[in-house]
Amino acid sequence: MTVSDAAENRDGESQRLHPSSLLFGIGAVARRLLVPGLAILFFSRRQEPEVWVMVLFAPSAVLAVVRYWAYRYRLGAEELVIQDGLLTRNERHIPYARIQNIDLVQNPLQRLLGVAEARLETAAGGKPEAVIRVLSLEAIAVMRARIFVGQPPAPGEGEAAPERPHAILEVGFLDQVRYGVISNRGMVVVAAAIGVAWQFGPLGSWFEALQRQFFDLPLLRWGAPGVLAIIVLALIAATPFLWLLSIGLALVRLHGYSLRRDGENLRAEYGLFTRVTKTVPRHRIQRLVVRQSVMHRILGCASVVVDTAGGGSGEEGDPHGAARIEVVPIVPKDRIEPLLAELLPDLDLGAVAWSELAPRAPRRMFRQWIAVLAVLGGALAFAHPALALVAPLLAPLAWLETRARMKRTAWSVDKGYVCRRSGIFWRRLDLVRWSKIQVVQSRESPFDRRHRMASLVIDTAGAGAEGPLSIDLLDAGQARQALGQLATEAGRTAFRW
Amino acid sequence: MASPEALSERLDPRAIDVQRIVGAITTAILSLVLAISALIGFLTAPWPFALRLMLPFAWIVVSGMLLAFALWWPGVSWRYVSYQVDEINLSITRGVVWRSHTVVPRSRIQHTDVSRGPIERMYELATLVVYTAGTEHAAVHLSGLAHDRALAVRDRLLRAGGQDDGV
Repeated sequence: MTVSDAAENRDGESQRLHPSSLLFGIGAVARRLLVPGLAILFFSRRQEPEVWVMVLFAPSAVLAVVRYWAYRYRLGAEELVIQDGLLTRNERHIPYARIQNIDLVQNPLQRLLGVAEARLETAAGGKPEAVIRVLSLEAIAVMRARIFVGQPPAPGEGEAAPERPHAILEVGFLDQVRYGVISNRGMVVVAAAIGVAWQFGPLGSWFEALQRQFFDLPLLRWGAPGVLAIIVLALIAATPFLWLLSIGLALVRLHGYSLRRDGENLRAEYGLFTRVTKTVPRHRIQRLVVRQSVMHRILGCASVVVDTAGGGSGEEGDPHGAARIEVVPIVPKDRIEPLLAELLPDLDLGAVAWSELAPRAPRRMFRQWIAVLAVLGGALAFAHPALALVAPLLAPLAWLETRARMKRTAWSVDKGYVCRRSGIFWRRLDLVRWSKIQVVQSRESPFDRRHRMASLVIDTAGAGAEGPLSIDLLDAGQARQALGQLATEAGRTAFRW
Repeated sequence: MASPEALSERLDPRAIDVQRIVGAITTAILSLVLAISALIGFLTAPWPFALRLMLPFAWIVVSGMLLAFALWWPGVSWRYVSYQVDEINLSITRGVVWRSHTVVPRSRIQHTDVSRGPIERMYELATLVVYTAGTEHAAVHLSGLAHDRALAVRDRLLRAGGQDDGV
C-alpha cells in the first residue's frame, strides 16, 4: 500500500494487516513450539516424530492464519477501530484523542520487508490497548499522522509557532558503552546462554566436571570462609566479563539512538537488530524522573524516565525487552538541562525556590537509625556478645548518612511544578507539572505529629510502578501551605491527558 | 474535642451507629472464634481445673473489651472526619492516629459511585466513591453520608466537569 492509497481511505474502509503478518504470525507460533518440538524430535521413541510435531504445530498455525483473516482496522474520522476474532467478534474503538503514545518495534526480518509492529497505548493501565502486528511503514506513517495531527497542545503547554523537527539528543558510541557499564546486564546474557546450553548442549557433563574440580579446590578446606572467598573471587573475576557482555548488549540495543522533537511529539529511535521507535507527545508526560546512581556520577551522566499514563514505563518481562527501556536511557551531565528544557519547556529549575526538610528531620532520621542499630546489636549479641559492639561502631556512619540525606533532599512547590531532589547514592529528581496532579494529600503519622511534621503525597496518572510521589519529613506548616497552594492551583488548571 | 483542622461539613451522626453495628458484628464473629478455642482449651488442656476455669473468664474479659472498643471507637473517629466541596476541590480529612487531608480537584474526577450496604440502607446512609486517573488514589471513598446528601454532593461534583478531558 502506498501513502496515497492509505490517504484515500480517509473515513472509513477497513484495512487488513500487511500480508507478511501471516509469515510473522506463523513464525511466532513456530518459535513458541521450537523447544517442545525439538524435544520430541530428539527424544521421541516413536516411529514418526515429525507427525507429532505437526500435530503440535498445525492447530496453532491454522489459528494464526485465521487471526490474520479476521483482523481489520479502520482509521475513522475521530477514532481507530479494530475488529478481530472469528468466533467471538470483538470491535474496539480507540479515540485518537485518547492515545497516549505509539511504539514501533521492528525485528531484522521486519526491517527487510519494510514492515513494523505498532503498539498504541491509552491511559487505561496494563498492556498496550492495541498491538497491530504488522503494518507497512507507509501505513504506519499515515496512522501516526492521523492520530497525532488531531491533538493540539494544551493551552500554555506548547509553543504556537510550528517548528521543524530537530534532534534533541543522540547517544554516541561512548555513551552506549557507558550505558552498558551502568546497566550491567551481562547476567541476562549469561542466563540466556546457560538456558540455551541447557537445552541443547552438553552442559550437564560440564557441570559435573566443574563440580568435581570445585571440590578439589584448596580454599574449600577452610570451610565456610573458604566458600565465601571463592564466591567473592568468582564475582570479581566475572565483573569485567559481565561488563563486556553488558556493553555488547547496550551497543546492540541503543545502536543509533536518537531523540527528536517534531512540534509536540518526542520520538526516540534505537536498536541495531530490533529497531524501536517510541512516540510520546510532550504534553502527555505525567511525571519525569532524572536518575543518577553512583556509577552514573562516576561516568558523568544520568538517565531520564518519562512516565506517561499508558501502562508502565521501563517494565521488564516484555517479549521485546528492547521496547521497554527509558525514553532517555543515558544523557551526559552537561546535556541534562537542555534536554529538560526540550521535554518540559515551561520548567525553570534555576528559578525554583527550594525548601529543606523540617529542621527536626535529622534528629528523627538519626533516631530511626539508632532504633535499627539497637535491634541489629541485640540480634548480633545472640550470636556473640562481642558482636553487639558493631552497633555503636556503626552509629557515626548513621550520623553521616543522616547529614548527607538532609543536605541532598530538597523540595519545592513553585513555578507550576512540584519538584523533589533526593537520594545520596541513588540520586533522583522528580518533576510533576501542577496540571498533571490527580490527587494531593498531606499525611501525619503519630510520630509526625509529635515532631510537627507531615508528608505531602502527589498522585498522578503516570505514577508507574513506584506509586505516588511522597515527600516526607516536611515541616507541618509548610506542608499545609503547599497543600493549600496545590489545591487551588492544580484544581484550576484543566487536565488534558 | 474536634480535630484541629476540621472542614466545614461533617458526616451524618447516624454513621456512628452504622459503624457500631459493623464493629459489633465483627466482634461477635471474633469472639465466637475465641469462644471455640477457649472451649477446646477448657476441655483438653492438661492443666489443673482452677487454671482451666480461667479460660472462660479470660474469654469474657477479652470479648467485653473488644465490644467496648467497637462501641466506643466509631464515636471518636467520627469526630476526625470532615469534608468540603468548594468551587475547585473535594477535600476530606480523616484519621485519629494516622491523619490525612486529601484534596481531589473536581476537574480530575472521572466518575462517581453512590453505593449502599444493607446496614447503611437501614439508616438511609450511603457511601460516595470518587474515581480519578491517579494510581494509589484512583478511588477516594467517603462513607457515612445521608443518602440524599450523597446524591447532592455527587450532582454538585459532576456539574463542574465536562469541558475538558475531565481526567
